[in-house]
Amino acid sequence: MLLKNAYILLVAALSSFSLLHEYYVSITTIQLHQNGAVDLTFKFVAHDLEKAIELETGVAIQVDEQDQLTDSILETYIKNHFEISGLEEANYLGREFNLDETFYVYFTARYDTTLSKFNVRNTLLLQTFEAQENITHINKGTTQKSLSFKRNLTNYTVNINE
Amino acid sequence: MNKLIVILLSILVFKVSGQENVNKFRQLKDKLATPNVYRTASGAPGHQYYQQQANYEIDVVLDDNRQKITGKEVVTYINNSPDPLEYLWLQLDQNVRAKGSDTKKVKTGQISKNKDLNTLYYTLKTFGEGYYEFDGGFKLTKVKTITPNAFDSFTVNKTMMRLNLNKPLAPGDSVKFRIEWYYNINDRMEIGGRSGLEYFREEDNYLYTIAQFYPRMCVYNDVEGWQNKQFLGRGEFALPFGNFKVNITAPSDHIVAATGDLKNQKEVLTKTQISRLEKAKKTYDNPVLIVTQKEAEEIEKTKATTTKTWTFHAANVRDFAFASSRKFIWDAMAVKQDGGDDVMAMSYYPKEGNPLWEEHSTRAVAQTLRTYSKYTIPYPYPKAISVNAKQIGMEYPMICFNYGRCENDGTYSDRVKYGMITVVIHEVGHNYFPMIINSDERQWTWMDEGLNTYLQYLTEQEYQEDYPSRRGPAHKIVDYMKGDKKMISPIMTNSESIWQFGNNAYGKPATALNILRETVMGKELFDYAFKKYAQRWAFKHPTPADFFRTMEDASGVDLDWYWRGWFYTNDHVDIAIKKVIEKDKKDYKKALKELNDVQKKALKLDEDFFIYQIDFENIGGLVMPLIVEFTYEDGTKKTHYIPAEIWKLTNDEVSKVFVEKKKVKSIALDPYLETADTDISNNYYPKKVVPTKIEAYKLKEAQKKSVLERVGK
Ligand SMILES: [Zn+2]
Repeated sequence: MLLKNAYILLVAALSSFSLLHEYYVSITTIQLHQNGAVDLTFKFVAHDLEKAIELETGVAIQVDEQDQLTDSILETYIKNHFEISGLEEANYLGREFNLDETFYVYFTARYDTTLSKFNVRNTLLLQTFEAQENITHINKGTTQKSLSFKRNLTNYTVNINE
Repeated sequence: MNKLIVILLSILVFKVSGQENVNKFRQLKDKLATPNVYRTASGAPGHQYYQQQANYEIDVVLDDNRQKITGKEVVTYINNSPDPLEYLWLQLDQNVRAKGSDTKKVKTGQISKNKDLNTLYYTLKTFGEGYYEFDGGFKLTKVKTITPNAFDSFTVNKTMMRLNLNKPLAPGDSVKFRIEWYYNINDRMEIGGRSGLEYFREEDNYLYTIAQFYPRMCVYNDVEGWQNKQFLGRGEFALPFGNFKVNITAPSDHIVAATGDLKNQKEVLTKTQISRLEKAKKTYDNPVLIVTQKEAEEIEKTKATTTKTWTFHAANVRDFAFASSRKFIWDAMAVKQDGGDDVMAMSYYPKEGNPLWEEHSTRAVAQTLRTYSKYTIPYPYPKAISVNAKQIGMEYPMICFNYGRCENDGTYSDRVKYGMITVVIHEVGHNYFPMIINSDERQWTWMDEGLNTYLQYLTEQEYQEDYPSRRGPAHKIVDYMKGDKKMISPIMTNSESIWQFGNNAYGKPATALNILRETVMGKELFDYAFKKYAQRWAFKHPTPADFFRTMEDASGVDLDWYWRGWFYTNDHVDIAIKKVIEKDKKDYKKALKELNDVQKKALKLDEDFFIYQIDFENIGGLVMPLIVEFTYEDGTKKTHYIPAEIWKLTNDEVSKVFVEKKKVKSIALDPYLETADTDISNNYYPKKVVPTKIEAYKLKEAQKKSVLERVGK
């Protein structure tokens, strides 16, 4: 869990152990407010995310460490793997780590309130874990749309008014 | 004849009605094996229950120069079954690492879009069939019978070996044979594995955690025949019980930790070590160091050229494993347990684990023994060991290998600390499931991982109040349960075919049991039945049906609906308050007038009353108890607990009338998140907006600043 050597983490991905750490589920929540504000919440299992980032970038981060470099790596990773059309000014807001290994990353953004159709791309962790599933909720008012992203299903077009 | 008529009649009935019984409360008869003389309908072992026995005498040499294991074993196999056995099957687990093993062949993968070195290395090693080859696997040098004429030939089928008996082994007879072998020890840090070596480059030293190191007998029983399903890497083991006498020859400066009692301590330990060990046997509050860090650091500076042989005996175990290194610090303490003998809790770790390990490992072992023995049976073995092994967690009888290392400067974060305590509790807990309550892991991962993870949760909470447990509480399984159904296997799925292994075989069954205990049955009924299961099946081979049946039979609670829903389907819990209709005394003015005095008195109609009809909708599919909390206008609260059987006639919608003395302001369904309801936005009347995570975060951040900072001044 505290491994600095990328190769070691690579191996961890292929071994199965008695105490299993891989959870393979992330939850993304996109809250579209009537006033044009957007709240984005990404919920991960901390060590899954660390492993994915290390595999992809070669940089070992610890999400419980408070430093700006970790913030910027997280921001870049998420922006690389998550995209929603019509969003502007996506800003990294912060993160929260819990000792039960749940980990949250928050962004805020703006959107054009006249839009109802969105293209969503979510490839978070998908390259690292074969069984990864990214559940994504889009909420506006009382409407909720739920999408499920997998290796062979990384793009959706969703109409929030339908 | 009668049977035929019944069958014809039932066909007729189905034809007429045109539908199958899909009621969620229909009994589980179609899913569970028919009870018989080996396994009863009550879930207990039957009057003709039997199991096989395999006894081993093993001599094993650990070659620290070549990182190689060389072994000889004499196996005595006793056929307690009523069946003549025409052949015997053994497991050659090391063969998963043999050149060209199926484990790698059946691994799937895609070429990564990333072209960096790490990904390339990973891709080639993991999926590159024929590219990265380690010369692993058992090299058998002798397979010979000792019992005259028992067999002349054997057949190796990948990870399994068949001894081709000349004549069947009769019930009650035994056969004795000798096997000799060697294998190269895998570098765990390079190619993975539940056991193997870790190399410390700076000082050129090894830490060995050695398991599946000898050909092991397969289980033969009434359920599977021979359990000889190939070992592909994930579905773990099925092993018969037996007695072990093992001689381990290792470099003379190594400390060896192993399953069983050390029989020759005078030959392998110093006088000081022996007297410290004696002191530890009488010390119940704190671990006593038998090899100190200072001593270990001195020993690891040089390398002995001589060897020592350590002798261990273990009775009634299903397996044997050991660890060996000149780097080991060793501590131990005694643990008292109710209704059982004192037990030794021990830890072996290199300096890289300290100070975390000297503070927590042995204490976590002791807590595990105390909690598990309270809920199951007294720990029956003389000791329980936790060995520090980077990166893994893996269990064997009396010994397990657990991760958790400190930074070079000896510091560690809370995250590392809790990760380490969690793994120690989990792996030591495996002594009970599956080492003692010996289920078939090759077939059912959840039977040991799920039950173990459930008790791990109770142990963590006893180790420390509000321990940050990862699995157990109902709300922590919600994300998994509400996922895409196409990606969720029922718990009752063979180990090799499970999607989302950790959630499916660890998290969901553990949570299901915790919910069953806290929300469905109540602690008293659950604990009695769970303990009964452990008592009945300790040192035996239980199946899922034996567990399901015992939990019902011992508690008097019909749980068929619960097992069916949680273990045989991938339904989830989402129950909603669909509609609420309110009436009060005024609405019944006319009717009230018509009641006579006796009726009025019986109904206490001089007081006010308010009537509420709540329509509940079952959206997720799983039927669950309804936990309904009323908040009255005066601010007080009352909880109604309605058993799941409310759904017994209609599974998807029910209405219920509540008569209250006070006017209700709001109604909440499952307000304390005890049922794993995946959508709580439909659990409130009137509808309530639950603040989102990000809103709570923004508020928390804002509170850190003064108003002037917030407005930018
Ligand atoms: Zn386990």
